[in-house]
Formats: sequence, C-alpha cells, structure tokens
Amino acid sequence: MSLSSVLNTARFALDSAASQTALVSRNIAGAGDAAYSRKLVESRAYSLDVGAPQIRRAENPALFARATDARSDAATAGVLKDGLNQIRSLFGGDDQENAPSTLIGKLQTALRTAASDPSDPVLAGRALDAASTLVNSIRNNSIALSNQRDDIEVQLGNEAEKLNASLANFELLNNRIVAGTRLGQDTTDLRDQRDEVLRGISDVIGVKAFSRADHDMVLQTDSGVLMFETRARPVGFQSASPLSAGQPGGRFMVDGVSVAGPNAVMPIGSGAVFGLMTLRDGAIVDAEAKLDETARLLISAFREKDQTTGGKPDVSGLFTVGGSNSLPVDGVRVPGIAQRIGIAASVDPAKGGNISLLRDGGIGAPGDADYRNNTNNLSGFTARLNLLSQASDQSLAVDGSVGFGTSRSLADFSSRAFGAIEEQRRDAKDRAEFSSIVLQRSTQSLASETGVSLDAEMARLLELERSYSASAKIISTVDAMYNALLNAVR
Amino acid sequence: MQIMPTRLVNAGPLEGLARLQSELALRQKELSTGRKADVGLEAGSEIRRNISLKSSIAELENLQRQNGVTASRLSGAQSALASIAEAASNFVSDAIPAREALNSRQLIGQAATTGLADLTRNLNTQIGGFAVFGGQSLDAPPMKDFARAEGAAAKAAIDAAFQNEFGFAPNDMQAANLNAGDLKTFFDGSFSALFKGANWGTLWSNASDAPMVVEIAPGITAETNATTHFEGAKDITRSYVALSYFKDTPVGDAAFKGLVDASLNSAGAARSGITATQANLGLAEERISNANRRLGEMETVFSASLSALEATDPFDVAARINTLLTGIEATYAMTARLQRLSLVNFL
Repeated sequence: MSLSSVLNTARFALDSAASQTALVSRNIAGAGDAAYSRKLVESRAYSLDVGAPQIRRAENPALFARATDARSDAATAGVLKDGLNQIRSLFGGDDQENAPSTLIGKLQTALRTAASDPSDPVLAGRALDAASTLVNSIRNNSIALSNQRDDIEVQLGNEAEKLNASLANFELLNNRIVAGTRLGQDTTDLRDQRDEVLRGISDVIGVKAFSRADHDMVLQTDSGVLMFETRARPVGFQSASPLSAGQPGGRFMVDGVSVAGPNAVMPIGSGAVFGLMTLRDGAIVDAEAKLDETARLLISAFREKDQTTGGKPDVSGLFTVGGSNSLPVDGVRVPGIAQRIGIAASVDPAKGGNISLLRDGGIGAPGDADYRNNTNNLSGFTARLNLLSQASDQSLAVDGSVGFGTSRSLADFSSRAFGAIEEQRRDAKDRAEFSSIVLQRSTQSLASETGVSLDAEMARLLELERSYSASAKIISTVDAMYNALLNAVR
Repeated sequence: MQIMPTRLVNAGPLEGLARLQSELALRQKELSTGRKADVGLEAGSEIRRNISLKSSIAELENLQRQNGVTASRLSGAQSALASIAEAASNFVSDAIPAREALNSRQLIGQAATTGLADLTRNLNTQIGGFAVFGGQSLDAPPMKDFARAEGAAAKAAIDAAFQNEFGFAPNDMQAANLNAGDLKTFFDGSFSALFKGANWGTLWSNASDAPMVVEIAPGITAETNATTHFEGAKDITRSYVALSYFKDTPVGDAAFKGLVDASLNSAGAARSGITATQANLGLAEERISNANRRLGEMETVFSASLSALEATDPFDVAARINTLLTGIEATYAMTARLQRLSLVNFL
C-alpha cells in the first residue's frame, strides 16, 4: 500500500462526502414536500473507479398501496357525506321546517283551526296556504333532487377528463422513468412525481398498481380493468343528462369497459366516481322515490267519495296530479309524481276556484252534487273539515318497494322517509370519520418510512463534516509525510 | 432505523387541533341553543320520534288554543241564556200582578215587545263575529227580528192562522167579539203550531237544527256552540210574540186576558226548557275544560320526551367546552415548543 493510494482513498472519501452533502441538502429542501421521499446513496465498497453514485429512495410499496386504497375510500366517503348533507339541507334545519312530515302537521293544524269556524274564509285561506306550502315544498325538493343528479352527471364528466389528464401525465413520467432507468440515470425524483400522480388518480377511482422491471408500472381499477400499461387507456363518461325522476344515469367507461353506473360489467368499489355513482343511483333515487310516494299518499288521503249510493269512483280532492281528478292506483308508486302534484284549481281562489269547497267537499268534481258533503249548504258545516284534519293519520296502502311495509299513515310514512335520510347521513358521517382516520394513519406510517427528518439530516451533515475534515487531515498528513520523505532524499 | 419525519412532527398536533376546533364550534352551538348541535345526525332514523312528538305538541297546543276560543263561545251562550231566563222570570212575575191593573193590556203588551227585542238580541249574541246560537248556519243572525222586515213572513203566517181559525183577520173589528176561551184555544192550537217543527226554522230562526261539532281532543269531538232550536226559546218567543202582536188588534180586553194567561203558562214552561239547554252547554263546557286539562298533561309529557331526545345538559356542555379549550391551549403550546425544537438551533 503506497502513500499515493492512501491519498487516492482520501480523495475518494472527499468526493463521497461531497456527494452525500449534496444529497443531504436535497433532502432538507424536500423536507416540507409531502410527495418527496428521502434519498439515500447506495453504500459501495471502497472502490477507486469513480462513477456516478447510485441514488435510491426510501420506499415501501405495501404501505404505499395501503395509503392509496385509504385515499380512494376517503374520497368515496367524503363525496357521500357531502351529497347526503346536500339532500338533508333541502328539508330545513334542526326543526325540519321544509320537510313534508312537518308541513303535513301544519296543514292538519290549519284544517282543525278552519273547522272551529267553517264560515270564516280567512281560516280556510290559511289551510289552503298550508296545503300549497306543502305541495310547493314537495315539488321543489323533488326538482332539487333531480338537479342534484344532473349536477353529478356533470361532475362525473369532469372526473373522467381529470382522469384522462392524469393518466396522460402518468404515461409521460413512466416513459421517462423506464428510459432513464435503462440508461442508469437517477429517476428517484421522477418516481416521486409519478407516485403523486397516482395518488391523484386514487382520489378519482380505486386503483391497483403493479411494478415491473426498470421501475415500469401497470395500473388497474380496483375491479381489474386496465387503465395504464405502457400507454394510458381511454376513460370516458356517457352522460345521460338531463335526468328525469328515477331515470338511470350514464355509465363510466375505462378502456371500453363499464366500471360504474347501471349494469356495470366490472364495478369499481371506491374513489370519488364510486361515491358519485352511489349518490346518483342510490341515495338520491331513494329520496326521490320517497317523495313520490309521499305525494301519492297525500293525493290518496284527501280523496273524495261519492256521498250517495250511486257508487261512482273516488276522485282526487284538494291535491291533484297535473290538474286531473283521477286518482293514482292505490299502493303503487308513481315515478315523478312529486314534481306534478298541485292544488285543485276548483278550490284555489287564485285560479278562479271556490275556497268554500274545502268545507263543503266536492273539490274533485265541483259540478257533481253527488261528491258534495255539505248537502244542506250550511255555512258552519264541520264534518268534512273534521275528516280532512284527520286524513294524515288514516292508514293507506303503501308501495312495499319503498321499504316501509304496505300499510302506513301519511304522517307515519313521511316521518319515516325523513328518518331514512338522517340514518344514511349518520352512516356516511361515521364512514367518513373512519376512513379519514385510516387515511391519516396509513399516510403517517408511509411518511415515517419515506419522509425526511431534519434532525437526522443535520446529524448526517455533522457526520459528513467530521469525515470530510478527517479526510482532509489524512491528505495534509500524507502531504507532510511526502515532505518529510522528499526533504530526506534532498 | 425508524425516523420521525419533520413534517409529521410539526403537523401532528395541528391535525388534532382541527378536530378539537370543529368540536368546540358544535359545543358552543349547543350551549347557546340548549339542544344538540345536529339532532338528526345523532338520532338517525329515530328522528321520526322527534318529528311525531313535535307534530303532536303543535297539535295539542293548537287544540288547546281552539278549545279556549270554544269555551269563550260557550260561556257567551251561557250568559245569554241566563239573561233570557232572568228576563222570562221577571216578565212572568211582573205580569201576574199587572193583570188586574187598569192599563194591564198596555203594560203587559209593552213588556212583551221589549222582552222579544231583548230575546232576539240575546239569541243573536256574537263572540268575535261568531253567532253562538247559529248551530251550523253562521251567515245570517240566528233569530229573525220580528219587529223588522224579516218578521213579515211570521206576521203573515199569524194572520193566516187567525183567519183560518176564526174566518176573519186579526185587525177585523169582528175580533172584538172573541172571548177569552177562543183566544186560549187559538194560542194553544194553531198559533203554537207556528213555532213547532219546520215552521220554527222557516219563520223565526236562521240557525241549523244541529250544533257545530268540532274536535276538542285528538279523535274526540264535541258540540261547540248552541242553536236557537231549543224548546225554551220556542216557548218564550211564542209568549212574547202573542202578547206583543195582539196588543194592537181589536181583540177585547177580556179576551186578551185569556191570551195573557195562556202566554204566561208558556213563559213559565220556557224556564225549564232554558235550564235544560243551560245544563247541556254546561256539560259541553266541562268536557272542554277536561279535554284541555288532559291536553295540557299530554303536552307536558310529550315536551319532556322531546327534550330528553334533543336537549343538552348545559353543565355537561360547559365542562366539555372547558376540556376542549384546555386541549386546544395545550396543542398551541406544544406546536410552539416543537417548532423551536430543531437540531439546527443547537448547531
């Protein structure tokens, strides 16, 4: 071992210290960046052939996969929670001022007050106001639900575009990584960027990533449809907007396969797209169905009967569908009826009607005396108003497919319908809380493997400083030894 | 070696802080409103119990308010009846001694005219624009005023009945020849028939036969006003009308006395009829006050159940707010100290 080889080793140590210091400064710069993973130098044996140092990054593919899954779940839960809050907000605050259940109670109260003096048109007018408030609320809420579904169609279109852009970006980065790896370049920062793009994709749709040689990656949806393999696969949304009540919405396609929406071939189970689809085809359709059934029960509860023995069919009374006096079939939900329910024109003074029909009966068939209850034309006739004020408590045939059995009163049905929304909202909130905790934990455990600790880097820096000065010391010692040797031979 | 990345060390306490702060906002809302911050979120599908309690409470309050109005109508009817009964008694007790007076016919006849006007006014009593004796017919005043144009039909009917009985009109001079027995027979017979059955409803009254029936408690209905169609009203009206109408006809004084006797009998009978109606109304009043007491009790129970579902304990909330504030302060202190705690500062 010659002095010159000692000098070479020391010089190599200086080089190594310099490149490691560069790495420390790179790590310190990335300490605040969530996407940045800690960079390390591959430890090498003492070698004199000086090439570029091999840099790798701290990574843990299993933890990374768990964190992306948690992100997809959290995105689903967040979308569901927001959507259900939006549905709930249609019905008013803690007092449910705009819920059919509340407004039905108000109508009942107004009718009972009207019965206390049937000759007073002001009291009858208040009852009619309560009835039109109820009808308007049902109609507007149903329209708002349809609009919410339409909004979701637009959002799904946006998500598809976002996903296409992300996949294109992913393709670009992946190509550079594969090429760079083959050339032996440092691709760690590119891989950090690609991971960040992948995280963005996992917000939109549940994704599974597989690694191949040369840091190449393949992406599938969580249901197994290929999204990326060497090149990005097309993603699309076939919007069916505008949606009428209960009409199925459009399908979300990945690589020509439907992954969400009606009759999806390979249905996904997480991501914002899944959450939006669950809202559009589940919660909102469900709420629409309940509003429709509430509207139908309302018409049915206020029906009018032939008061003679003539046996004419029952007709609709105070509440009608589209102005006709025919009754919807009992026990069968009518999709979209909530948007068409109205107050009979024959009783509404604003439409040229006669408000005293509320007291007298015969709203549905004003020209037919057989449907009239107040046969003696008494101004203080209370029997009909008494009956109407109890209408919401009588048992009616309910469509069993709505989920509350086949026989319920209007008041009971409408309060259950509202309760169902609160129940879904509570579930969604619990799910959102749970998934956000899982996301936080998995992100933390990943970060503790791949993140940068300033303290650790500073300690490394001290270490490098020491090793640098030690190497310098060796060089100056060797220099002194050479001097001594050269002076001796002079 | 497991390391703790700087970003996590610094962000750790802040993640907890957001949760503490959002909970603090909820608790503060609870403290100011006295009810749970988001009732529906906590109750889930059980919210329907709150809804049904709330609508029951609103219904009970409304019924109690309505019953208050009804009670005032009934008590208005009661006081009208009391004053009708008193007037009838006074009329009878004044008329008996007056029979022997020189101007008895004028005295009694005048008293009957005043009594009839008074009776009509009492039976047309309105409470807040609502005719308490109208039954289910609330448009016209329940009693037709005999002294006005609307009494013309009644007058014509009396004349016709008289003509039918005696063969001449009441204002014919031949009426002077009738004796007391003739007029008593007429009064008890065809004259009285004018106040019975359908005749009462066409000649004298605009009210309906049946009173108004309204719910006074959930599912329970009761009569909530009166109608002029009670025997006492018919009897007393008959007495007043006979004396006030025939006072000014050529009927002789002796014959008129026969009419007075018959009328006073009828007026005496009216008092028991009025009392029976008063008792009926009294029963209705009692039913309503019972119903109201029951409604009030139900409301108390329902409100208590509702508040058990929705209300928060202010002491509990205040204690939780204190805990939250302590937690938030600790987080601030910790964040500040962690920021200082870096190796960089010690090199």
